[in-house]
Amino acid sequence: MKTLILLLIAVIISSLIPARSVATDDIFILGVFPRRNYTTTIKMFTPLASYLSRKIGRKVVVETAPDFKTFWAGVTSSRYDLVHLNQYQYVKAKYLYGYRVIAKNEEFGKSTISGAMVTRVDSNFKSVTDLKGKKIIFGGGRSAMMSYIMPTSLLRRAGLEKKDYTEKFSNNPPNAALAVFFKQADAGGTGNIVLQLPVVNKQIDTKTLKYLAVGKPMAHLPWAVKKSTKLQEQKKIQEILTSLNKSEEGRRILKISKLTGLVTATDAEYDQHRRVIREVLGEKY
Amino acid sequence: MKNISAKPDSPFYHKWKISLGAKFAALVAFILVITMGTVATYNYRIENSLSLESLYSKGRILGKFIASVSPQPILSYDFSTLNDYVKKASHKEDIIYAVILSPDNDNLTSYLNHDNGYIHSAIEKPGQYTISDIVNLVNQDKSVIRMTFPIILEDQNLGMVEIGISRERIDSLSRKQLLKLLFWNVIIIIFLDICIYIIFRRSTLQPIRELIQGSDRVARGDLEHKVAVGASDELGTLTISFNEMIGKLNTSTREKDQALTELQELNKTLEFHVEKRTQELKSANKALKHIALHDELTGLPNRSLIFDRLIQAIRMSIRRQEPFTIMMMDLDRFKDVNDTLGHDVGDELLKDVGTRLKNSLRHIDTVGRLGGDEFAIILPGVGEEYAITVANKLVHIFNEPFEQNGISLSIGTSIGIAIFPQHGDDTLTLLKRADVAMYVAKNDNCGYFVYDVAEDKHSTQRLALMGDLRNAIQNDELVLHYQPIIELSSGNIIRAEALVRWIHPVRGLISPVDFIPLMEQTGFINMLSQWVLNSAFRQQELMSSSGYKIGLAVNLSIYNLKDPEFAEKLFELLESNKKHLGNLVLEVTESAVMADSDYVTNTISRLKKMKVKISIDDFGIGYSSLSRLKKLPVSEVKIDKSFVTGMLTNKDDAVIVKSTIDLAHNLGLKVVAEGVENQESMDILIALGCDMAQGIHIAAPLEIEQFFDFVTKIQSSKRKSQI
Repeated sequence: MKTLILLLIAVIISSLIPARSVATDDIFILGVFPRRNYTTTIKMFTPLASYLSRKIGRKVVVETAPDFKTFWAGVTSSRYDLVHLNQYQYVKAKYLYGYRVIAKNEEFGKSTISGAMVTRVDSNFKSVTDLKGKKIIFGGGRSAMMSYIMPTSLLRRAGLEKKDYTEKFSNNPPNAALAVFFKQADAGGTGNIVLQLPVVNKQIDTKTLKYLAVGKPMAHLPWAVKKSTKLQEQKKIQEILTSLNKSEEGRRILKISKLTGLVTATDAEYDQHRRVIREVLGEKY
Repeated sequence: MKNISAKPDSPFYHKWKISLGAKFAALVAFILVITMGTVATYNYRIENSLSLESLYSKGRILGKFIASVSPQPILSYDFSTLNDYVKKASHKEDIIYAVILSPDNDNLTSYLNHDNGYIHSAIEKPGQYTISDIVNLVNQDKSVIRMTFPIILEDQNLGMVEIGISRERIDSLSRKQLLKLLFWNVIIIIFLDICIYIIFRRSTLQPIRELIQGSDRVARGDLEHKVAVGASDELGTLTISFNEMIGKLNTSTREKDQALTELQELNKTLEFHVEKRTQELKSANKALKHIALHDELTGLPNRSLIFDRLIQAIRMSIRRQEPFTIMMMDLDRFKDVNDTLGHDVGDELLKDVGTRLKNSLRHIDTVGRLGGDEFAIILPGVGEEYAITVANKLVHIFNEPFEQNGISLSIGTSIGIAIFPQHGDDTLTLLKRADVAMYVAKNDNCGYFVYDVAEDKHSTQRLALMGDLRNAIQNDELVLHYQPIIELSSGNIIRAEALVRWIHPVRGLISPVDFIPLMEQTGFINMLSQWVLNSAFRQQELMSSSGYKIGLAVNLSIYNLKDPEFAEKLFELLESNKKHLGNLVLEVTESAVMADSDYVTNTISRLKKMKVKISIDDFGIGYSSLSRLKKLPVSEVKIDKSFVTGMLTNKDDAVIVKSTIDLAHNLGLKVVAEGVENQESMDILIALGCDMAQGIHIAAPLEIEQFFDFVTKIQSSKRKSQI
């Protein structure tokens, strides 16, 4: 009897565990880093997953995580067959787990992105050096490539060390810009497209904000396959992704994914990122 | 305060007449409105208060909830989440806005629901507005409830949540609820009012109406029907009392009606008598009026009416710009008719004259009697030419004799004519001038005369004479002339007729013809006759003392004989001159002697007793009654000179003279012929047996000295012839 009860409990528990958390050979898992909240992320990329599924003949599911730590656990376990992650995570995943970049984002028609420092227009800051002693908020944690590493790089290159300003962190880049707008920080470290994001310019008057400094253009957010992915399959997936903007369906999928396109990317394009990571975080990949 | 009466005769009674039912329904409706209105208002206030409280409660719950979930986003700078909170809150019902503020009052959210009316109105206003400005603008609206909730975490103030709540929906809902409540209240009030009215009408109004109908019947006089007693309440008691009252009233009314019937009968009798008396009075009044304005004898308009018609004729002529004629006429020899045939005949003659005149004139003409034998005629629209035609016609109708008591009376008329406006423009002037014209017509014996201003002086002179007459006797302006009367058989002067003459200090000798009628009209004739008699007696005395045995004849007027006062004075005078009475002959006219007057007869009889001889003067021209002549105590008759003068050429006159002499002699009377103007006449008279004669052939009237000379001369020649 005890055995029967234990067996029943096991069945119930197993039934409660999401199917997509069970890696099987038949399921192709598309992992997306938590750039946005969970629901939004699933909605944005489910059409792409369906499309991809149809193309590769396998069931494709989208997985994301509520935070970077959980997501990173999926990376480290090579759970994701195809993963969309930030530049820092890719460099690190390549170095540690053999992920290979096959494509990168094209947003607002650009496949590159720069780190930027946002301030209010009515502030008297003329250069990054004016931020000394000020409160700077970054749109993510220290692993956020666009919202922390790249803006910090601008600070370092301006001669400001960590002790020269007060670091604050919001949960994403738009909130960093909003915090500056709401006078909760003097400057915000974020990407150079943050003011173009609807989540920002629909909430506030972005004319009251300005980019105090913008870094060099760097390859945009990457899409990578795991190490075990066969080269033929890698190419097929790369072909599917980069040819999305060639069909009506693909453009619709891209629009839902808030992208203007996916372009082919090589690992070499992320060497620039590796240098900045080493410069800011002191980590070598 | 003004007291407005509501009596039935007051205009307010009809203007403000409202039935009892309407008043009661209005009162009930008023009470229901007040009651239900108070309840509705109370309910409205309670519901509004509860709704408001629920609104506050809603705001509190929402605000506290946002305040409780906001610390994490605030601390993690998750403004998107905060914005999501306020966005969701802002879309709640009644919520206008929700904002999250930092401890420094900086906005941490940017969302405002632009679809909200308040927000929309605020951002529509010109200018650049921050979220704080917009929120402040919204809060200025009195219908906005502003609520704040602090955001505290572990005693750390992280800011606050501010919520703006609109009362508009609640207020609108309350208003709708109130209207709904009022609507149903009105329905209920109407329903209740109708129900109460119906009950009131059946239980109260109906008995009252029956009482009113009963009262109306009583007012119409129907006291037989009684009002049905419906209920045993106060109205029932009132109905019983009413019926008892009607019963008593019925009895009383019957008694009153009976008395009234009797009274009406009496009234009818009284009315009949009054009507009869009124008719009599009307007739009498009419008769009096007729008498007042008409001549009693002829029925013609009298002097008053003539004057009135004359005034009307003047007015009408002025209005029509045309003339009219006034005629005055009197009858020639009417006085003789009156004196000889009596007043009865004279009156009948006047009636006939009036009838003839009336029949001879147009119906629009007026003929009236002024008095005596004077008539006036008004001819409207008639000028001088036509007036003469009318006058001729009138003169002509007098050619036909008037038959009275078998006697054919020939009388003439004299008509004076005055024309308006050429002879006068007022009544008195016109009458005076018509009178003048009539006087001229009479004097000239021409029938009629149209007024001529040249003739008016005679009238003036006549009037002046009338004035002078008063003083003539006192001024010794009168003298007596004496005309001898001889006895034809002997040729002796046996008598002299005393004839008065007036020597006017200005106008000289005036004939008696001109002033005797005036004296008769003015009443001076009595005074004159006394003066003549006195003077005659003095002359008689003088003649006696001078040895002349000659009698005196003195003329008396009919007016003297008719005046009792004069008669007494005459007798006194005769009494004092008794010795001369045998030689005195009083001559009175035929008409005076023949007057059917006992008084005159008595007077003549008394004179006869005093041995005074009476002679009938101007005999033959009047209407002497032989039977009366026989009875009268007269001594002689004096044939009118017109017959004596005419007997030489007119056989009729000769016959009359002879017949008169014969008749007088047959009656034992002496006959005097006057107017003997020649010897031939004298001879005839002698041949006819006339007793005495008088005339210019013998001697004209002589002054006393001349008379004495004449007598002396005659007596001397007589003596010579005897010798």
